[in-house]
Amino acid sequence: MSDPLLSVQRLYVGFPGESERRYAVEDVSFELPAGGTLGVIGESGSGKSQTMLAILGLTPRQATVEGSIRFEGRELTGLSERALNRVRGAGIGCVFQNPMSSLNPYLRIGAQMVEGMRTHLGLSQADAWAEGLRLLDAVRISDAANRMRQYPHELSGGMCQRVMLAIALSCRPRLLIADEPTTALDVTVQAQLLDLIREQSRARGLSMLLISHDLAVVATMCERVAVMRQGQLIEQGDTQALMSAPQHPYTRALLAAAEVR
Amino acid sequence: MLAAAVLALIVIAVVVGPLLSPYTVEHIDFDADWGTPPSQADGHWFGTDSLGRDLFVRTLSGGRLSLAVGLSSTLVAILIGVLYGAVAGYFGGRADRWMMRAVDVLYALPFMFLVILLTVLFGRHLVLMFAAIGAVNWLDTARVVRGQTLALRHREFVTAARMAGVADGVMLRRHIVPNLLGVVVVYATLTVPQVILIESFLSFLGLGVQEPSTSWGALVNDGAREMEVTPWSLIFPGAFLALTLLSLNRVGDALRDALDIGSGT
Repeated sequence: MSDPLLSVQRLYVGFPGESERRYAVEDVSFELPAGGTLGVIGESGSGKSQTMLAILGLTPRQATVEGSIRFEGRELTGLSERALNRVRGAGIGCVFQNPMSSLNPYLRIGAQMVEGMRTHLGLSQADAWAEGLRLLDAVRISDAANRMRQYPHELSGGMCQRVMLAIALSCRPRLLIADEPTTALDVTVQAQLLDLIREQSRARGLSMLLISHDLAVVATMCERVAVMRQGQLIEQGDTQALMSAPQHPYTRALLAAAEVR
Repeated sequence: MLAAAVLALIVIAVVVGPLLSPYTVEHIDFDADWGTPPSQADGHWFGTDSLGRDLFVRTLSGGRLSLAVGLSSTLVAILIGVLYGAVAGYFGGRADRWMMRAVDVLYALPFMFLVILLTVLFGRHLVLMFAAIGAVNWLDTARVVRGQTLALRHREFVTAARMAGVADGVMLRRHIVPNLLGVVVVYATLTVPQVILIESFLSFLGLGVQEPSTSWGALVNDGAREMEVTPWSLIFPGAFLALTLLSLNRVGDALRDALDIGSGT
């Protein structure tokens, strides 16, 4: 295991500005070993979501991505949409911030669960459906057989997010990316979902990239932490070390702010 | 609700009504005086027009045509418009720019000129009228749908589906178009009266349907010519037309409120 699972080197994400290009992500580099967990933390607009989108190849059309993103040793930047689909669909699972808009309101849960598995694993409808039931059980959704036939609006936010997790896990990924998965949920539901994510990713030996602005969440979930601010990665290191001896004044301020609460 | 009920009544009357009367659209009743007022006794419930034809039958079968034109032209306009708008909005970028410029160009064509040109070239024909009306109305639909698609494209479930490797065609069919339906249905109910009005307008100018078949617009045209002598020949078709347009618009408004489109949920 010399090669890291995910390696981001000198990543720039630029947008056309009024006179010159403006960079939402500037010179960001980090690595994620297989089975490792990395938390990316920063305030709104710090570029953490754009970093994630760049890894997934989902940046807006007018944005330019420079630098190198390697997943399992394969360079992702500059890949065609088709080739990218194969990598990110099967290799990377993703949970987004807003559970209510992550699911198509006009499709039943089952149809949305089956979609990815049929494309990437080549399962038959019946097999994919059975697998979907197993996955819903795994994310502790009771009465899975009936849930599969329901529409997203019949489920609570927490449940939608667990369905998203089940979908993200459905194609047997090696990497799970979670973009502020708990921001839109109640505090009690947050804790449950985080436990579930940790438990599932451990059980499946997944690496995890967790994006959050909540220091406490990242501290409990991740081995390593990277702090972003204004598009730059200002500090990264082991969670313990970084929490006890922050180097950058911004990290110190962040920690101080968390302690006050 | 009232509007929907009125609309349903009109549709039933238009479909069933002409069968109840002993007269047909073309039949000239020589026993009745030409242009008799409405009466229960002789079966001319809405009276006769200046040629002695029964107005009850003519009004209702004219309604058949007006509604048929309204529905089918709207359907054509919606089909083309949704497809065009969704494709333009979904792919965006250069494809979107060119497709929407084409729409702008078509918008600039004067509609009446187009219709008159078509009639001169091909003669008066019902299909032609469908085509002309449909050809104008899909432009609006395409614009509305494109705007909605642009908004949908950045929703997270579309991103999630792209992540899952869903192909463009499937994406449009399963994820984009179903989410447009709410807007489209509302838009359609507001387009039908507009189309009926255009048809009436064309028929009023003598560019629409041809005798002996008729439509509300053609009847209003006939009636308007003789409204001093036989006012009922204007009042009945005019009332039907106005009532239908009013209730269609009310239904559309109610649907829009019920589906709460402004808020974008």
